[in-house]
Amino acid sequence: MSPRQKRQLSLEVNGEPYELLVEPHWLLVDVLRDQLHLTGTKIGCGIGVCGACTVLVDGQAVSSCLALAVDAHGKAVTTIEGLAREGRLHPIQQAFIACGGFQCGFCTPGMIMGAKELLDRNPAPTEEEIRAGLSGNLCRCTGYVKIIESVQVAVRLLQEEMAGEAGAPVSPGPGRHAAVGSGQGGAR
Amino acid sequence: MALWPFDYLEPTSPEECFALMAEHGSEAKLLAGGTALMQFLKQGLARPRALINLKRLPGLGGIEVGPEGALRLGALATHRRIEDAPLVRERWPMLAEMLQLVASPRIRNMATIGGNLCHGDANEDPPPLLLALDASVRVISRVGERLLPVDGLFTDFYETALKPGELLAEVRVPPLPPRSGAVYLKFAPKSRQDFATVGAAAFVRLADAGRCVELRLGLAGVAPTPVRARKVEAALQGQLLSEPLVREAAALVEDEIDPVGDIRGSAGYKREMAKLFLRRAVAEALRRAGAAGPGPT
Ligand SMILES: Cc1cc2nc3c(=O)[nH]c(=O)nc-3n(C[C@H](O)[C@H](O)[C@H](O)COP(=O)(O)OP(=O)(O)OC[C@H]3O[C@@H](n4cnc5c(N)ncnc54)[C@H](O)[C@@H]3O)c2cc1C
Ligand code: FES
Ligand code: FES
Repeated sequence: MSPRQKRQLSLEVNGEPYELLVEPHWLLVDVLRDQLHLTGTKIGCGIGVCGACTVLVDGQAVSSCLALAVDAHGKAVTTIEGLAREGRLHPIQQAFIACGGFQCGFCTPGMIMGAKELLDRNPAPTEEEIRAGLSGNLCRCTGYVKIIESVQVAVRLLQEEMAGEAGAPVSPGPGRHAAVGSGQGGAR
Repeated sequence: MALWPFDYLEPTSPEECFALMAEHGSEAKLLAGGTALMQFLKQGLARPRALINLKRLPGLGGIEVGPEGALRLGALATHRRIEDAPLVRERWPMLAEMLQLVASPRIRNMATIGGNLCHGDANEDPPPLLLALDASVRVISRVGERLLPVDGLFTDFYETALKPGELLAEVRVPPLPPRSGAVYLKFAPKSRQDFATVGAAAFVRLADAGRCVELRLGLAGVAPTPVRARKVEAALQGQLLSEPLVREAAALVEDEIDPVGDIRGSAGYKREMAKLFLRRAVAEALRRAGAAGPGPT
């Protein structure tokens, strides 16, 4: 059996270009965690079921436990570490904190990346659409209610952020998380 | 869960791919979305010396209508791209509906329609509907190409009729004729991303008098391969489909299936669910066939 050559892997991770040498059988999740030390991405089941390893590849949510690193050549990967901007958490992250959308936190990076894809595709999902969109992200702690709420609040924060950028007045927005929305969503 | 090492080959033309397939033979595995293959590698069910990645091959990801009016899905088109395609949503909406029931959004972003069919898993959702819609696949190899009905693709547990050196290139789904309707129903009571306990698809076409002139039924989860319910079809062909008649006919599926009891239900339960979901699928396909055309006056 011929000795296996490491391969050149050029990819972008969280906006930064990387040139890595990887073996063909290395999984994307292992390269992210062990080579790039981006340990926010978790490994739960390793078989595509739990969603703990969810990252975005060219904007699409994938299970990085089922993806070969070499397959990401030339692509742009976003992990949970890539969501904050200038030290400010992404509105989805803010919403999860404000609503208690996690307990142990193990599912959270994957859950938030799944929610990111969902809201990129559909900025105003119904509760049913949120449930369907996150159907492949399992949580052993929360019972999901607070997670759904978090995504609903994130929708409002994102809307407020957009309205803020466009210079339009920020609506106070009813409901128990209104303080969160107006407190952080409009500020830049 | 680390993988056993392998060489990684990335052909950029079909010719190069066929040459690599010939060179490595059964030592190599083809890689599409990887969602099924990675499971096999992780569990040690396959230990290939090389993986041949198909994703850099040009021209295998299209979603378009062919000259004969059939939908042509490139083997590398992902479930998600197909379910999102306006063409599919408008003209084959039952296909988009069915794909939305497969796994989770994340898996559908990765998994390809070609990989789904070549995996040959009897629990998968697309095969029953493709059987009911009379779809076929275009298979290519070094020596040429052939068209194969999906009804005939699945030969045994995780086995397909593809020969060594062959590549599934395209899935073709015929256009829906007037006064026809089709649907896939997935019964997965445990969780939304689970495989079906039973999946049932029906296609019906009605004549002017409301008689059923064409009917095909497909099932998942009840035999070593996806299956057509031919006895049920025969009992309904040419008939006016009343509820009692459909009920009586659906019971004939007993002889055509061989479910295995597992975490998703006992064999007996699956038998009952196969009958029930066949009845429901026929009823819904009928409703759609009626709604699609002007109907008898
Ligand atoms: C968590 C999870 C949940 C799932 N739930 C469902 C579900 O609810 N319903 C359902 O239907 N399915 C489900 N699946 C199965 C999923 O649909 C399949 O894994 C997927 O469709 C396989 O496609 P792929 O592109 O990833 O194939 P791969 O894994 O890349 O390949 C599968 C097999 O096909 C061969 N192959 C691939 N492409 C070709 C080609 N063009 N020509 C010849 N051979 C080829 C490969 O060599 C391999 O043997 C689930 C999978 C996972 C991981
Ligand atoms: S670790 Fe990848 S889906 Fe569970
Ligand atoms: S917060 Fe613990 S698994 Fe979700």
